[in-house]
Amino acid sequence: MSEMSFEIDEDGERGIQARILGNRPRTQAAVFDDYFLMLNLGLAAGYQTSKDNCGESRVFYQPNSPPGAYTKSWNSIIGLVIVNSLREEAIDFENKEEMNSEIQKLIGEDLEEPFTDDFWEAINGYARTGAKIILDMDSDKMQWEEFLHFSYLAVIDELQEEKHKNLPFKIE
Amino acid sequence: MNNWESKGLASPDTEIELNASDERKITFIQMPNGHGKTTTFNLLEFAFDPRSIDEIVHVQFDPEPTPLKAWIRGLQCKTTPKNEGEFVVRGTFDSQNFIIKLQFDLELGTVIKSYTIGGQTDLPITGLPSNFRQLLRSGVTDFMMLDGERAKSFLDHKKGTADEAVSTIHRTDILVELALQLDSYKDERMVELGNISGRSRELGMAQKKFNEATKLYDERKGQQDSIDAVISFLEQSLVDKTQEKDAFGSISDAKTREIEAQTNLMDQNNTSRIAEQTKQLDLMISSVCSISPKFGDELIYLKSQLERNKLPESAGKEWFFELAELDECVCGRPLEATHKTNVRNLASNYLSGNHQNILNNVKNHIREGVKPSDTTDRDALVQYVSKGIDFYSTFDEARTQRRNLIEEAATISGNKAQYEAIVLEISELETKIENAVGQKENLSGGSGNPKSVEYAKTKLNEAKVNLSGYKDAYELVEKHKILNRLLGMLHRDVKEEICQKVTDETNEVCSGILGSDDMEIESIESSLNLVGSEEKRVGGSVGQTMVLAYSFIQVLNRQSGIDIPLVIDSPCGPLDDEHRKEVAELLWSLKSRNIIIFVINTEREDFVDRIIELADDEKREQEVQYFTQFKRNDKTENHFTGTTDNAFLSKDKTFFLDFTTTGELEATGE
Repeated sequence: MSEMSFEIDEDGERGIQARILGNRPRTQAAVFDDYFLMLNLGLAAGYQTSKDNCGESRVFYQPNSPPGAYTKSWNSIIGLVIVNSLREEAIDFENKEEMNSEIQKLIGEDLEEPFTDDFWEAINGYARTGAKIILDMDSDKMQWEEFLHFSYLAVIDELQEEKHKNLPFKIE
Repeated sequence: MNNWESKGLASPDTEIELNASDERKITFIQMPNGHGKTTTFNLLEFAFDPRSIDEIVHVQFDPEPTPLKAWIRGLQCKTTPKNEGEFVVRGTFDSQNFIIKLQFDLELGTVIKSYTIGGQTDLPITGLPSNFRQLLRSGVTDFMMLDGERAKSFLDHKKGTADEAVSTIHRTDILVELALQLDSYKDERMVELGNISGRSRELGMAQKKFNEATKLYDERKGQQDSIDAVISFLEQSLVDKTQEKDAFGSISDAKTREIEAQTNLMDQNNTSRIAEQTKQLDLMISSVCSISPKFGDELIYLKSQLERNKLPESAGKEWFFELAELDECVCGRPLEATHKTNVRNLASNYLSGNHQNILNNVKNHIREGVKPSDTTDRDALVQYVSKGIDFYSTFDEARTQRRNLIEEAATISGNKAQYEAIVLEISELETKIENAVGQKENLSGGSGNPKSVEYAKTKLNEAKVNLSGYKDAYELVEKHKILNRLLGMLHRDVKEEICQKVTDETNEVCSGILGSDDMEIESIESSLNLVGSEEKRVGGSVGQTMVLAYSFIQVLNRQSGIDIPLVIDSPCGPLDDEHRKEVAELLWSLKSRNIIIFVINTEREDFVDRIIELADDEKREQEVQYFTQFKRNDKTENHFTGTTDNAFLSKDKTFFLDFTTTGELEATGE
């Protein structure tokens, strides 16, 4: 089991399958897998969900060859995990020591395995949040594009809007 | 028996006229010893022998069996020997006169026996009426001829025929004869039936064949009755199917191929369009910032904070740790332990090279690609997704169109299949009609055609005849078995009952004469089995034995319905005076039939005298006849006054009673 993975029970799996149908883009499956969709939702929501809250029972959502499959977005994802984790921990971005200390929790000094367990727990926590959000959506099955247009992008926008209202920092 | 006549034999050449009327009589025939008494007795017995001459090898006259030729030659008269002799017996049976003629060649020792009855002359024994032949076969002579030896034979189980006597006199042998006739009838019928088996298995097989033949015939007949209707139906079906086929017109494959080409092209177009759509969408959302423009704001903010905190360009943390290991500062002053601890604590606030490397990558990525949310091209993604939605709606139309095309093709294909099915049915109908016409010809064919009705009919008739034969044979065998068993049981039971009755009555008569139970019969088998020890079973005196025999004969006579005379040879020779009278009384009581008694003059005392007394007492003197006959010789010469006859016959009672021959006892026996 990859570090970049989490488990969800069968009801959750069926729930997600029940909401999306149609052909998905297959040329770069990595960015279109369900994990990627959920992770974006979780990062937009800005909070992690622990295992206990997700009813984990078995391996389900796991990207192909993580994180290599996410080459184009990987640095964005690292940045978003760091910035959302700092925000969640209420780190004062002005305090260099606090910020460095929190960053060192997520990124280690080992050149071979630079990301810490805390990092993987954080990224999987955001993906779990995304899974829960999908399960809260309407269960009318839609074509892939319809799902993106009417549910996914709209929900992400709503989440971002909500999160940015309460940001402890101002984004210029 | 009315008379007998003897010529040229050892017995006197006389004709004994018995009783021509229905009146029963006792006839005494007195002959001196040596004048052919026993010869006459034996000739009578021979005349009534039921066998043909060819069957007779020996005659059983006493004392030993004698070859036929020797006996015949012995019949020649010693005093006036002749080469030929004749003995004729005349009588009436069943209202028909009969003659039994014995013609002897005394030199060759041969005899010809012929019968005349009912006007038919010179009949062989096989030509006799069945009732007369049956009378002879019943062994009538066994009860007609009685002498001392025969009387003894009733007690001899080796020679005995007592049970046969009972069977014969009571005609129970008819049951045996009936069984034999039944066997013959069965055998004859079986031959008529072709000697087929009468067993149930064969009958079952014949029945099975008959059933099969019936089934075949019924099938053929049914086929013949319905074949015209079948042909007519098939022909009508052919007309209907041909019309149906014509209604289809021409079925073209071109349309089907065209539709297939269209659907294939649509499939290709759709596939390529989906592929293109997917590729474009993939490119558009490959950046998370396209999905959420505010991600760009967050990343830019992160980058600005990282830069604002003025992080060491590289290896800051490692430099401080190295510094904490030195003994003196770069300024030359020694570094205390507290200084080193302070430096290390300070170093922990800095990031390592690896942190820097990753964060620099993130910063570079943000710098190069990430845009603020208000400047991202999010709308392009939304538009493309909308385009995809539109595409799918058109795609649905295409799919509907395609589905319609496929249905159209299926309809054409279905029609074609239907058309081909009709063509096939027409072909099959033509074959069926051809077969039915052929079958009709076969069914109407002659008996030589194995497929014809006539052939099946012939086979059925054969099976019917065959079954009938087996049925008859089976029934015959079964009935024969039952009847045979019944007859056997009946014969056994009847014989047993009659024997018991005869036993009881004989014992009653015998004990009445003897005044004792000395000669009591226990049972009747081949001989009369006497009650008592082994010694006693042999029998008593000759006289007692004769009494028993007379008693037995009397009972049989009383019980039988056969009207035959009783011929007795020397009944009193061995008897004492007392027993002579009793036998005389017994014989008188037997006078329900004619009794012929051969006597010599010494037997008259107490025996003939007693019968005369009885006849006188009952005023029936006329019922007793007295014959005296003898041949010419020195002792009888004085009776032949002036005649040339060699035999003398007198019917005079006085002559009979007075007759004596002084040399009788010395006469040479013949």
